Amino acid sequence: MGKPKFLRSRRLPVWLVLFAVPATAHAHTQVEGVGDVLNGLLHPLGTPAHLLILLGLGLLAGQQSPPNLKTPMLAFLPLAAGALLLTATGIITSVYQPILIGMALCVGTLVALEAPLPRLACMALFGAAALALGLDSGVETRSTVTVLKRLFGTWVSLGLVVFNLAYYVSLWAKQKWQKVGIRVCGSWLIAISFLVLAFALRR
Amino acid sequence: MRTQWKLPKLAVLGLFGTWLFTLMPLTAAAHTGTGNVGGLLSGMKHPVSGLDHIVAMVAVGIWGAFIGGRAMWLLPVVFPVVMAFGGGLGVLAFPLPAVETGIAISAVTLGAMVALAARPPLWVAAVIVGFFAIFHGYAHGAELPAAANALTYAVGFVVVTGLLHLCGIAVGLLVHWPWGRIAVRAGGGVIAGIGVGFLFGLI
Repeated sequence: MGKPKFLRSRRLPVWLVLFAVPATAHAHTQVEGVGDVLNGLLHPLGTPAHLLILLGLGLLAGQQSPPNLKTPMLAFLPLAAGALLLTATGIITSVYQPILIGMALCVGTLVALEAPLPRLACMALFGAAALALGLDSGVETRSTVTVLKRLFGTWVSLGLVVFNLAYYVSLWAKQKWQKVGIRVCGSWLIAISFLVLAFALRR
Repeated sequence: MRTQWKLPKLAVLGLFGTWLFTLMPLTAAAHTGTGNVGGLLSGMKHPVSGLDHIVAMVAVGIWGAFIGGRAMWLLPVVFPVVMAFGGGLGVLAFPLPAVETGIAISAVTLGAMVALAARPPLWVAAVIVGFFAIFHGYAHGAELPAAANALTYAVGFVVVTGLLHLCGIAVGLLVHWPWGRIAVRAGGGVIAGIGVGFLFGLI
């Protein structure tokens, strides 16, 4: 059996390089002139804590065997939408950062252990992550239309990142070294989260 | 029987290209050490800013590949996780004596293990690597720039540490050839020698 089509693409290294260019990292900032929906789309990608969790969730969902993206996405998408809408009310617009980092630590540990997730645990984990990410994505502006557009963009982005990552990981990680690579990424997530938690405690 | 690890050329190229481009100082903020990008670049530079750090981390990869089997990935997984624990101690200013001496001894020990072709049980190797990872992590954590983003700093140094392990694994895989075995053991001797140099202040 040959390699998956996307692995045969000559564009893969280019995409890898583009994703690594540090100029794209602008947490919680608004990009002028790109519209509200796109600003919302960019928000999770420009917030390192969110990106850590999303990477972990994508890797975790993708490494499950047999592949099952339906269960995590069914929990993730509605709860993310609910949490994002809750921020629009102004009751809560951000989450205590150590909670987010703790969640990344938890997800990273599961990835490193290559832990098989029972259906309920999977739904609980992805649901909790969706709530945390959604509630931390509040938009500080008074225009309701702007807020809703940005929240919609954020919701699409959250779903797309997790789903795409999980889909491609499940498609790609067939050989032993590939599975090991994903576990190593999990260990990196643990290390990063642990250090940031310590830094948050110092503050 | 030794496990055969075959990395597709495309994956190797992609990995190298990604690493190379993340080092590019694309924005003016790169030189300030502040914010997300500054934190990332500071974190990426830290593991490669000291020869003692570099040789010890490369030695972890070489030793893992030298032992073979599960050690090849387990040691590079253990190292960053325990290193983050050490980093936490450093960030919290927990008193840890003789950090620099510990780092130098790590190079001596790990280099000697490779030079002597030591193949201890996996858990012994993991304990040795984990013990020394605390010193390396402590140094990273204690020297975290105050103005830098802690999360991106952690991302930078964990990823570069992982890539140094990967370099070590690549070198260690030379043991599949008779001449490579001699070269790898000689490399271990050089690493141990560098460690001795640092230990006695000769380097």
